[in-house]
Amino acid sequence: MDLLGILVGKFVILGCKLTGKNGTSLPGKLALKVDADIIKNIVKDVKNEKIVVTGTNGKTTTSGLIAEILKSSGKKVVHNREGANMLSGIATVLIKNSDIFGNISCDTGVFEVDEANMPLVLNDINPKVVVVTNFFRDQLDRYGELDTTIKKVKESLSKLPKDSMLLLNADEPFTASLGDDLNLNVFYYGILDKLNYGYSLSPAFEQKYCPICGGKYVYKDVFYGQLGDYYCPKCGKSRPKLDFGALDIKLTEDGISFKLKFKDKLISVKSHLTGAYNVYNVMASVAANVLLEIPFSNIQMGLNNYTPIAGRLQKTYLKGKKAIINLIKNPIGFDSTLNMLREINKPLNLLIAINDNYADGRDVSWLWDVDIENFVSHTKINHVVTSGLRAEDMALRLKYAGIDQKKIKIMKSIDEALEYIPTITNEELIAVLPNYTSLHEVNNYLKSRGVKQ
Amino acid sequence: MKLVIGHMYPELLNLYGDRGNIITLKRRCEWRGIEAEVKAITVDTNTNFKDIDILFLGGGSDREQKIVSDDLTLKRAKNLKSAIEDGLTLLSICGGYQLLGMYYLSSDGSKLPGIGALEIYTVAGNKRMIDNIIIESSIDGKIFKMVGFENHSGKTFLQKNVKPLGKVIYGNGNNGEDGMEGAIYKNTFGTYLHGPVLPKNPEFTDILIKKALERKYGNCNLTPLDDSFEHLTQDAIINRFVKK
Ligand SMILES: [Zn+2]
Repeated sequence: MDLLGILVGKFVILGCKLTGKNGTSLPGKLALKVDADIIKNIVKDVKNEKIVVTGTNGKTTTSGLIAEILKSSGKKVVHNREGANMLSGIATVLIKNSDIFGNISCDTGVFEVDEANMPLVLNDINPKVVVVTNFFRDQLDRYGELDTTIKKVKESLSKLPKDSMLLLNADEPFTASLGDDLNLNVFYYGILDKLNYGYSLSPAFEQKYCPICGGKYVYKDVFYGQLGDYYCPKCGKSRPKLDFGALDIKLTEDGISFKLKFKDKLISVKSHLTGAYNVYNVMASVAANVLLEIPFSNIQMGLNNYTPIAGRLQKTYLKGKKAIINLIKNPIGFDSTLNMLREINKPLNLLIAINDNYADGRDVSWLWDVDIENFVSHTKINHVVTSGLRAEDMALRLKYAGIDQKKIKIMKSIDEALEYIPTITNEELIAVLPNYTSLHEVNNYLKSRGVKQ
Repeated sequence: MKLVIGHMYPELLNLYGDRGNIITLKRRCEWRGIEAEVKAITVDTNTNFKDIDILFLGGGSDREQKIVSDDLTLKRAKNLKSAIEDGLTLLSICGGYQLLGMYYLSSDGSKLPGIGALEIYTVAGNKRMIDNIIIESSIDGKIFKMVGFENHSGKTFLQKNVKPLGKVIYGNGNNGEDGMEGAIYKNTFGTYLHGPVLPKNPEFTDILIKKALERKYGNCNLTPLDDSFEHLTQDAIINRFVKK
């Protein structure tokens, strides 16, 4: 194999270390310029299963859980944990885990892959299991529209070897339809319980039309976003029969628990992750490992060992004041974060940081697809600081959502906003809601202040 | 005073935050003590547009756009055209804007008819115009800048009778060629500006409200509002992308 690519990658990794940069993408980006096949060349030496996780929301948590479970069962796992899920990020993590001859020290691979990068990398990785979580509207300006993305994902799936396994979220109509007429081993997971917390359909709700006849889908139950139990009254297409179904779901402040039905078995599952949407992430990770025939004791151990990465429901302190940090990167993610905050039922001081860098999506119109009106009318909000490159857009959105303009302060610098918000906080809970690249700034701030993550 | 805002196909054309336009129209009426009622007009709704004061028609993804296009051109073309001729205040965006025109020429050479209310036509382009956009408008003697985000591949060209909404200062506009953006015909406006367009361009929003009020109640003056956040949002984009 071409060793120059590896050397370039290794060299840049060293450079990033010396300059104190995180370097989760740049080494791979430059290595790919020298050797376009570097991913394929390294990955072919990963002897055991490769797992790919894609979808709009939940892929970081789901792939993290899968990797943790595999580690708990004694495997050496290469995994792009930091969420760098484009070609460059995958190449970087592979180079990091290889010696200078391109020999990788891991026997199993778990890769979170960005939807739009699936066609570019899926066949190079050649995974045993592919998990698709859901398709929501996300960063549309980068990819064009959702339909095109889904079509391309399906095309790349159809080129996989016939014995590959595909694990699809049956409750999300777009995702479930990937399995139609696909010559692979397709498994579906979904919720068998009623799980509706009285949230109305979010304005970001989408895809209510049958892909076969164009008829309007009717939902028997909506669980979260556009996820639920649906059918088409016109042609009869409905949610596929579940291979893995969650029932007896219990959500508490400490976490979630449910029973997973698989064939004639009922598996008890527990996780310390909170929020209804994590039922899907936990279920997908358990199901993927069941398909890989990992013993159940190892699966539960892996769930226990999992620690969420920085910025996902992360609890911390800012100048001694309690704060919670959660990434918001698209309308559904923003909506479910607001629902979670509403459930906490405490007075809030909000810091919302919105950037419009390439990785964020340059169009911030989606802020208007979030049901902030509903949140504002049900929650006591004392102060809001908006920050980031689009601080003004966020402030304007909040004004029109019904927050008194006098409560809103615009501070473009995220560092300054993080310094400021605890100084106006008494008993309130601080909620820091950054989008993708803003989260990096928040994490850097915490790191530079020595706050444990 | 009361305005009825007609929101066309809200569950189909719900891309790019365009519901923010409805929120903005409603709020800016309410802040002035003008009652504002939002009526959803869906595929199953019958209307001749006589009971609507401001009509909003957005854009959607290809699949939804097709359903809308069938409903508009087959069922509503005549009613909507005569309402537009009669001076209905109408804001159309992106796909909705294209549908008001004469036709859309797709890349395979087929001509998809619009309702023909505006003398404009759209040609499929091979490159997607995705960027922030800044324009300068001059409407009813008022000159002001507008900002937004455009995301379209269709190139729209205006013919006689139709004036542009503004001149492009930054970005592509109607077609990336002639420096024009959007269209004005009577009280009907078309534009490629998402963002959404109305919250951050209050001058334009108020023109729509004023036109609708005047059509219904005769001459009127709008109470000025505190638009400091609106202008901060606008200025942030202008200062970032336009070199002084
Ligand atoms: Zn159907």
